[in-house]
Amino acid sequence: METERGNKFIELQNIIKTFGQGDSQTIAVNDISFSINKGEVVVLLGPSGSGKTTLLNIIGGIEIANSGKIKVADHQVDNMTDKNAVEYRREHLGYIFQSYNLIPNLTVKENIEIGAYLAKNPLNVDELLKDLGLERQANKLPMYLSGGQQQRTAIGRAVAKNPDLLLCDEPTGALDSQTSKEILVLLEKVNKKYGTTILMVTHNELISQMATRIIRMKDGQIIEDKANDNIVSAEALEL
Amino acid sequence: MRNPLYKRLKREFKSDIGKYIVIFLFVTIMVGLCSGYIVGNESMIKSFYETQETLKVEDGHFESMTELNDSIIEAAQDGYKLTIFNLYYKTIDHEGHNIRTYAKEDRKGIINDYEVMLGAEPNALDEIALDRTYCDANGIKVGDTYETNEGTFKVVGIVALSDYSALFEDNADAMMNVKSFSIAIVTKAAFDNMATDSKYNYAYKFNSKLSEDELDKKNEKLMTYLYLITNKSLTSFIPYKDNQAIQFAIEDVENDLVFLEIFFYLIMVGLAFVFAITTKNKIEQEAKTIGTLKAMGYTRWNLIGHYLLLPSLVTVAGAIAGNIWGYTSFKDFTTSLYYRSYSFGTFHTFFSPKAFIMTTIIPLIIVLLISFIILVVNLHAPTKVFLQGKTKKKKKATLRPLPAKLGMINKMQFRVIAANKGTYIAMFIGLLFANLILVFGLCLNPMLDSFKKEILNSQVAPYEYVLKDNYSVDNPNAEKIKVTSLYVGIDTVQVIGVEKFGSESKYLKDIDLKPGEVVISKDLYQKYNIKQGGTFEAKEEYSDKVYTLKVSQLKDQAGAFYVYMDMATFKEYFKGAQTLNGYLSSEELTEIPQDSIYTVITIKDLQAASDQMSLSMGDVFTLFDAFAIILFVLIIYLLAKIVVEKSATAIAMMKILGFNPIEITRAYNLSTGIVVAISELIAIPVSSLLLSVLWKAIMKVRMKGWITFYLAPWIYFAMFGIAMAAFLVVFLIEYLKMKKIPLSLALKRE
Ligand SMILES: Nc1ncnc2c1ncn2[C@@H]1O[C@H](COP(=O)(O)OP(=O)(O)OP(=O)(O)O)[C@@H](O)[C@H]1O
Ligand SMILES: [Mg+2]
Repeated sequence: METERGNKFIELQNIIKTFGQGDSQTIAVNDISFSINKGEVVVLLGPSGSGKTTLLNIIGGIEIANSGKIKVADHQVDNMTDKNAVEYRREHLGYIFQSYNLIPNLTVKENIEIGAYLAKNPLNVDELLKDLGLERQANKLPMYLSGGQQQRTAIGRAVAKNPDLLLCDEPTGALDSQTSKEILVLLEKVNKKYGTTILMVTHNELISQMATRIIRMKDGQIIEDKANDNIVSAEALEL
Repeated sequence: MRNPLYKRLKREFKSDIGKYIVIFLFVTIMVGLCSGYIVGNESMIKSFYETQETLKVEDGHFESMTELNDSIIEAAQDGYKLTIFNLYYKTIDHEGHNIRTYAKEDRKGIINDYEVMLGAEPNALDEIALDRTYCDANGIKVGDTYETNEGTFKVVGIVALSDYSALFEDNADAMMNVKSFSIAIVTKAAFDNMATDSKYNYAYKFNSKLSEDELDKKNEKLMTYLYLITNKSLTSFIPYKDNQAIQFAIEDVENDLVFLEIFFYLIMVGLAFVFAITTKNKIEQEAKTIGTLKAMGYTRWNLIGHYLLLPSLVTVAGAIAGNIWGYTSFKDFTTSLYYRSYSFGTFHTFFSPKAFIMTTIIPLIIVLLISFIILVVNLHAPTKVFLQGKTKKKKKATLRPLPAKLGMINKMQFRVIAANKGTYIAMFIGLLFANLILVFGLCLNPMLDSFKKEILNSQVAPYEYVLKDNYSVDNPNAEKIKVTSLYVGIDTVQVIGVEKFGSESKYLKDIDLKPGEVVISKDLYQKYNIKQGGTFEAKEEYSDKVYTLKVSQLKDQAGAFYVYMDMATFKEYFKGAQTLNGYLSSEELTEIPQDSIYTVITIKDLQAASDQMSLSMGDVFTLFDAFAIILFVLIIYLLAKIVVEKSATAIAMMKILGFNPIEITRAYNLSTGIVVAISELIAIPVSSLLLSVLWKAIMKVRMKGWITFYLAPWIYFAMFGIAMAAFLVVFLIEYLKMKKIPLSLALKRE
């Protein structure tokens, strides 16, 4: 599938983010700049506390950077009104977390419908359920699903609105290797089928093999940023 | 270190400070108002009965047309073991006001003494002391000059008489009269100087303390004796118990206590719900922590103690603050309401064990008990369940899909309501009680207005004359009647024998009297559930004689208890009894000499009970409304808060997903609004029905007289409006809170 390389979809310039004050201040993100093109699958690697989640949340507009510029599509993310932020998240973002974060009162299908509701051009929820292998779980409450099923529901919710950008924070962090692989296959499918840009945070070196690009972080800084010359399909990953 | 759980208490208190402040204020206000009211009431009552002793109030009095000679008095005193006091009075005139004037020396320290509330005793010939309520109503002050037909006086004192706490000019009057009637005290010399004729009034007091039964019997014998010995010149005989001037005011105070207690118990139920809900919510919120604590080895009892401590402390603090407020200031407010209508002497505050138990001990027990039960039930699940963040083992895993045509937000509303079922059911019950209190408060005035209209519309004749003698009226509009009174239950009924009825009568067209049978008025058959064709018992006033009367017809006449019978039947029944003559008339019968008139009953008299009720109860009922509104806001606030707090993580997640505040508010906060609206639609008719039952029960058991229950239609709308307004207040608070929920809340790992 043809992707629009060379078109800077995400652009970060000199992002700094600190927590706390004085002695207890942590610099979570320390002057980071990079850009991501449309359709890329970028894996963000790094040890615990290196600032991966913080960076992802800044891109998602959940955290606000102390300084620096971020542009995603046509949104200046570092300088948005509340209303613009809602619009930005609604139109462009899909979020997937390690802890699923499904709405507990809603069934699997309704959780996915939420995503569809938000989009101008949503995917068909019933088809998506089939693709996710959740047909038989459609009317169950999330609490009664396995971790993998819950994460698939979360992917369904994120994907249903057919976003430009999927932000995944350790999506397989709580899953066994077999289930993890299923999830990654799904994400790969989404990227191939809809050209969705994926930015995925993980601890797991092996997962990075499926990325088109790998960024390594340490102490809030990028220590390596390289294209993956040897992309392995998610199916073939040996997790 | 005894119990590390205590360390959590401070943190818990801080994190939930809003809730605890609300509960503290609620308990303080509730306890303060109720203890203030009850202490005020009880102190009034206690002071009243104390001064009845110290001011030597009579056991009764009677009036004779002629002065009684000493031998009659001595014979009565010896025969009935009592003392008779001369308590003559002269009715003087001030701008059309009837001023019943007594000599200071007849009363002071002897019988029916009085208290000087302001100023001093009259000592000079031109000095006068007047009743306080009369002075208040007419703007009379100490130092004013007071013109009368007996000359000009100087008002030197404002007094409260022990036998006139309510200014009833005539014991047969339905309503007291503070506007144009007063008691006055002058010196004996001034009294003797007056040209006006004395009325021969005598007060009596039995020499020893008697029981109620003995009093009744002795009074009756005394009356019969005096009636005969004075050759029927006795114009009135009023035992203490039947003296409206003495009994009316204190009965009002005592009746208020009845309403207040009912109200208080309603509030208690409301409070119990508030605690049940917040306790349950606490456990649900802290399920995981509880799981961890249980896993660490804390027993259920440790945890129960832990979760019981804060609500108990807050309640105790609220109760203490409330008692202080009630005793120090609110009590004065409630008693001032009574001083506005009645001429009570000064009162002393008594510590009321009843008020303390009712407003402090009982709430504390209720709070502890309800919280305890909720805790026991909800801490029952195994540790594993709590560790999963739940308080119950299983919930339904699969839900039925909602109709596809329902919008996403509507679906979410439905799911939010379904997920918070328990909370919302509690809210419904809480609202039901709030509605009951509210409708209680709102119903009174429109009900009294409606009742007064009903009285007017069902009035038999504009004038009902009751005469002392056989004065005969020759007027085509006057229809002759005979009157006597009997007791049914706790009420006095007027029994009327009529010569004309049906088409022959101008006033009783709608009744058909059969010999030996009676027609009864609406108040009577409604209050005592008497059916057409049925019978009821009526008792003679001063004897044990009981009449069983058969009812041939019910008459739609409101405002008094009337029993009609034809003249022949009347004469047959009451052959030896004391009966009076009278007339029904459409016009004032000016030809009857004033001396012959015992009483005239007009529409004003029939409506007087309603006016009086409105006067004396109005304030209590306003209090009900204020309370209900507080309760509305409180219940909705606490519950809406629970719903939003429980969903905080989900709300943060929805924000991340890109839902806008309006959508989130619709899904979470408006659900509460929907439930409030639905609850109201059910609670309004249910509470109205409950109130009508309650009202009839109070009327039957605790109150003299009868007022037909009626709810003005606007009250239903008002109830709905008030509930929705309360919701709106909460909605705004919760909306702002919802907006403040940080997105990062969804990312916190547990
Ligand atoms: N809300 C916060 N308040 C204070 N410090 C924070 C906050 N969020 C993150 N930090 C700190 O910022 C640094 C980066 O945290 P971040 O969560 O971004 O790391 P990470 O790379 O995602 O780690 P992990 O792989 O464990 O998820 C850490 O030192 C962390 O303690
Ligand atoms: Mg992280």
